[in-house]
Amino acid sequence: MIINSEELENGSLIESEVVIIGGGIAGITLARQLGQFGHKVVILESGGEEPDYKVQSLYSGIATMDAPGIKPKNIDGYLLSSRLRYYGGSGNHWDGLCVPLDPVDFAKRDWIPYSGWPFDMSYLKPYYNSACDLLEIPRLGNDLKLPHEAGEPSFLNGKIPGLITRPHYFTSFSGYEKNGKFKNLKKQTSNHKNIKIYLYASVTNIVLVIGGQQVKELEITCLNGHKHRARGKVVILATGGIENARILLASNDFMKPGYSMQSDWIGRCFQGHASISDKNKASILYTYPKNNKVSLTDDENIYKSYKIWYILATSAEAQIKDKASNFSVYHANQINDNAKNVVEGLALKLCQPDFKKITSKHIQVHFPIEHTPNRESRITLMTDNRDELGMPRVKLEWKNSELDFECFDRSINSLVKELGVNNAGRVQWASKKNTRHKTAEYLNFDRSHHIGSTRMSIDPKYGVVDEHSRMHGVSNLFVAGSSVFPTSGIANPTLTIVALTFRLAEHIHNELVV
Amino acid sequence: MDRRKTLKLISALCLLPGFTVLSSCQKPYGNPPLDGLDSETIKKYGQTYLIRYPNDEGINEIMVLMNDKNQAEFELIKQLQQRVKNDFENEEITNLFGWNISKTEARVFAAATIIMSNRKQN
Repeated sequence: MIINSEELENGSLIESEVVIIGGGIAGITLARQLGQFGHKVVILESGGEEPDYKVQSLYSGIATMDAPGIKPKNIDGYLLSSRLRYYGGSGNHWDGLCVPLDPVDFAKRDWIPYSGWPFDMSYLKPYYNSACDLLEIPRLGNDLKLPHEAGEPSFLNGKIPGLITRPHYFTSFSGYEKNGKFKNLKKQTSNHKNIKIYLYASVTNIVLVIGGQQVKELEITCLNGHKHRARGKVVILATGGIENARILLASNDFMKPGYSMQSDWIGRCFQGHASISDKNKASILYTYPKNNKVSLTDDENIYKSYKIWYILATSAEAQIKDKASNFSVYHANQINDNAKNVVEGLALKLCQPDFKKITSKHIQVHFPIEHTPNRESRITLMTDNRDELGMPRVKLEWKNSELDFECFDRSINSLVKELGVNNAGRVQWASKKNTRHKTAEYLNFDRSHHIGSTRMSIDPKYGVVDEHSRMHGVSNLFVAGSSVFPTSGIANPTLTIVALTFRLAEHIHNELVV
Repeated sequence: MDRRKTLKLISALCLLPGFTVLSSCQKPYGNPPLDGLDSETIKKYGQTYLIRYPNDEGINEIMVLMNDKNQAEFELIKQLQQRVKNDFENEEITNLFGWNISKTEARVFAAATIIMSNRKQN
């Protein structure tokens, strides 16, 4: 059932067993699961059923992107363009790319501060598989990776030890697809007998009981001036990687001394996915057998036939050996050199004596890098700048650290070496004159992923939520979405978000049943 | 004139605006392993490497290999291939015009540049 909160009598009280704040992909999948378990669920969605400028502008704020050696770039527009505030949330513009994190992303890596999840990836496998089933993509294999349905791309020497080709599947649940399955999922959710969706219901304050151990109620403000309250046995915050932190920071009770979690983590360790790219200086010249059944460079045909992208990435073993972070290579355009590329010509001839069986492709690339956890990369609020509902607007300071670029250098070195040793190609990137600080100038945010601002940690000294995504110190408040990821890897986060919501739904169901 | 002096001289010549010997080579280079590749670009890469590493003794080794008339093309390529592999393994890598290539490949360009220059001078 869909209800317009602006049409409710002012001061209404909404009550349900479970109250979910946010009707994005996390909120919808949670509601759906909990509804199927038989629980009564309410979703409080800030927007309507369609995009609305007035609602979307509640997202506006100040944002900068910063790295050592460069001036902070103004990216205010990112706050508005990288997410959507209406029923379905950012799922409405999700391109549908599905890929799990890597097992190494869950591990404690001594060279990356604050790395390590409370559990390993194998524990999450059943939930990943539920997410794969929902999104109608193949399940994870025993190696915890998605299968190479189009066949595994090979190089001249077969596999390359330090590199992997990671399949990314496109689901038809993408919000981009006209009349796609995401619309059906939204419809099924709103038609579910146990689920009520309140539109135009923006939660502006989470009120805790005295002592702060539980959520008492939620304050809802509508753009027409109406104010309501909502109460639930369980409350789940699922408003996305930036708003989750914003609502917590704006809720005064979390800042009071009575609240038991005294650590200062809300909004910190924001991780966004960025790439290092330069149209004229970043390319790879791949050399591979002419008779390859599946070639890494055959992006278009693999996509057309299988709806898969194969992405070249460094292996976990290479990352550990090099003390690097996660790293991959995205293909942009094929380069057709006007003049014969001498590097290409020589590399081809030196591939093997019978070089006539070898071919090559020169492709412009960009390098997505892992944004390692950094406490200074953070979301804060501007108390002197408020939105139409009276909520303080967001100030996002996206900061990549020196470590990110050190890891990038190590990964590039590894890529150059592995492709070279295995006669698989040559890498064009930068020149000797380029310092690491210059590299930071080529950092671009090109993906709308907001990660880490309410990070998960067993120890409340190092995070906002516990291993069950429960807010430390507040027994009935949970957080869903990528804001709980302790580290961001480089994978598109939606598949992991959905996997974690399956896990959270199961946990909440078990608690409610007991 | 010893090899080191020759290299230095060629490097210096490359820098002169009026150095027309090399810049007149516009035909495809005609010897393995650069057969058919644009000699202008080879020269550009070779000169850059020579200027950067005028005392690199490895260039001479490559020149000897490339000038060995008794060696079959197959053998030359095989030898170079092994050297390239070793270079990448040992991180003997250099950056020319953004390309991260093995030192052997860079030396091939440098050696070819010297050979072209010598041919013209003779």
